[in-house]
Amino acid sequence: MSTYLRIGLGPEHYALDVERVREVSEVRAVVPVAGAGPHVLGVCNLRGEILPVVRLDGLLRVDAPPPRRIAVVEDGGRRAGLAITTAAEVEELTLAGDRHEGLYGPLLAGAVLHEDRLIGVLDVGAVLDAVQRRDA
Amino acid sequence: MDERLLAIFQEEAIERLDRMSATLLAAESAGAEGEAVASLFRDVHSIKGSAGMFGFAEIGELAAGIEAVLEPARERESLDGAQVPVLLRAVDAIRAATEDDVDDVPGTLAALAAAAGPPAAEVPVAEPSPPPAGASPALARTLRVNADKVDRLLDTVGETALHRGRMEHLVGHGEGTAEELEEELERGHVLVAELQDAVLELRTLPLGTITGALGRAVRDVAVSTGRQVRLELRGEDTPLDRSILEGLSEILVHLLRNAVSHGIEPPAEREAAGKPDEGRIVISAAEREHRVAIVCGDDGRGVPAEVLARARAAGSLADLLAAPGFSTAEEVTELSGRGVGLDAVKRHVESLGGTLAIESTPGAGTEVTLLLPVTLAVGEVLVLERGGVRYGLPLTSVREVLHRERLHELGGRPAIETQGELVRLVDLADVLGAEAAALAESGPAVVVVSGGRAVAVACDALHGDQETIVKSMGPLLAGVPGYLGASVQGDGTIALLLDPAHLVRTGGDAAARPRTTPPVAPLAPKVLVVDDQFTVRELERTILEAAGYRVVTAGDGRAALAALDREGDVACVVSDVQMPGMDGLELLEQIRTQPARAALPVVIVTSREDERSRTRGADAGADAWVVKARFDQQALLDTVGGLLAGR
Repeated sequence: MSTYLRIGLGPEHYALDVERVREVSEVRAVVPVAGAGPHVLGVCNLRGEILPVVRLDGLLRVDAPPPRRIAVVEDGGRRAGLAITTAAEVEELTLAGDRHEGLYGPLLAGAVLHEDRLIGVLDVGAVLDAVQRRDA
Repeated sequence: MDERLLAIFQEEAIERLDRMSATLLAAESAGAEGEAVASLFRDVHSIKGSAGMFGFAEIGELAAGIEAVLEPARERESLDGAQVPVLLRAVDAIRAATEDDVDDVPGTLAALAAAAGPPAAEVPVAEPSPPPAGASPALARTLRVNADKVDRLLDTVGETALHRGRMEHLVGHGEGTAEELEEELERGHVLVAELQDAVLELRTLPLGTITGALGRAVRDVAVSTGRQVRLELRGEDTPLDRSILEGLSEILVHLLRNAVSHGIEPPAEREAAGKPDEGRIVISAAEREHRVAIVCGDDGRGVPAEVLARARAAGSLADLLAAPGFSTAEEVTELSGRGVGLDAVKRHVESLGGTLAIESTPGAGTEVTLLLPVTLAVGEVLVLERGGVRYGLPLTSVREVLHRERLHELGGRPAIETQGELVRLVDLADVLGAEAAALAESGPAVVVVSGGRAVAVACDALHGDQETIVKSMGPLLAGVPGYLGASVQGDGTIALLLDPAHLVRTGGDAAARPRTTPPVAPLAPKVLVVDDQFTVRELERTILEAAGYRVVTAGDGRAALAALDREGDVACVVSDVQMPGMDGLELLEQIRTQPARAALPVVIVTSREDERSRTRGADAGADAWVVKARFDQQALLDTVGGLLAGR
């Protein structure tokens, strides 16, 4: 049993291990970085730090409206803001029981059926790897 | 052995000895437990390890004696106060030995042996207790700083506090005249500049920090090529930012190799030319107009006249010699064919915002000049805008700002005329591959110079120049070509800092293939060295760099994992076992859990002849094992070379 932060991306729900989440902030001015690949929205100024902002919609192939929040995640020395949709669906929850590992592609550590809703558990490291590889 | 490393060894040892003395004195009456005993053990173990590497037999024996006494105490997590006096005596003996006084060594060793007593078999072993809950796993990055520099910073901070008080008085009580206020504001301006200088100075180190291994590198090459060479170093006190020093020793080693194997003639040839048998290579460093010039000059045969003629056609000698694949020797020798080429040297220098120049006189010698910024962290940039995004260009690379007129076009490639010269004109958006509307009919163009080549970069608008702090865009974006980093403007917006070398390179072929970058030439394998002791790290670094490897370092397992993520192209890891935070075996286990790094070669270096660690290391997938007590550089090089050859 672990604690996750639930995030909303358009119509879908995902979960992030809270250990990997540093904070959730309002979306702020993002400056595009040409050459950084299709999954980087750009960089933003988070209290003086230059933070890369990752668009999850393309990576997860989800149709999502423009992001409204940024979930700041860390993996080793890497740090990035994941652009997500809604504020209302950000809550802490505890997921238990059966995961369906490997069923939903390399970016998910698994998926959980919770209160009749399928929630994808994101593998933060794998997501950042894909961004860094600049996968199409 | 290099004196600077020795000085650092002494400094580190004394720090550890001081800590041990304090802990032992506190333990004298009531004994010591848990963490205090563990700390004593760590310190003495580190001293033993580096003493072994530096060949200080007495210090090594004393440290081993202390370890033998502490070992059972560590097992049961408690040290008896009665054992403290002999340990204190041994600590003092080590201290004396670092100053070459070894009179008390035999007596102390005998006392330690008596205190260690029979093997620890009959000592009752307590259940190991879990680590304290509040212990913080992540270690802060540390910086060894000259105390004078900190004092200077503190002085300025004091001045700043006074300034604030005066401002409060002037503004808060409404008593200041406009003139007084202006004066005080001006003082504040000066103070901020002083603070900035003082803090930046904390990051600088003298060039001498990295030149220690150069003598050996020259000797090795000279011996294997049958040359007689003397190396002179000048201006070793010249300060440079740590981040610039990091990759510099590798570059200097390469330049020296070139100088010996391509420059200096064999003794017979020198004699025939009326030169002394022994060739001379001088590395000199000096500050030059806010930059540092490092010059590597030799009195060898120089570059042939026909190469100089070709250089005039190619633009400059540096451009010609640094062209990928160029070599002046008829056959590439084993030595200079290895490691980075001059093209990689040039790219590295340019990526630091510096330039490379080469001058040569046939028959008389060659001089290579690296002109480097003193620091990477702060610089003046010209802020420009394209497609709604702000970009910064280091002012040192800006030759002039033009209005786009007097355009000429040939084969779809526009050029602009300036100072009687035609310069290629490229759209900044094309060079970067950025989305932007077409440029307006007229507007500004900035002439950017790097490595002797120029390109005019067209943009929408200019926003003047400003002093800026360079920030990294983080490991995720570090591999994106074209940027030196980013900076936050006064209004909180971000300006992306452009790499002038990339603009000039890519701008040159912009019309042919406007949105691609040139392929990167293969570089020497990169080795990650992990050790919590600066001396050991630097020793291993100099050994590996002198052999032509690129080296990055980390102070513990966690930093090593971060370095692996950041660097991306590490080909081999050389790690210590005992480190605070995450130790070497944990690091190894972590590396092996990452599928992409399952086959990454890992060499474990340790002073420990401990079967248990070895078994755990082997289980976790260590590829090789080098024992520090028998540490010799050839063993390390053979091990690393063997592992990399097997890939």
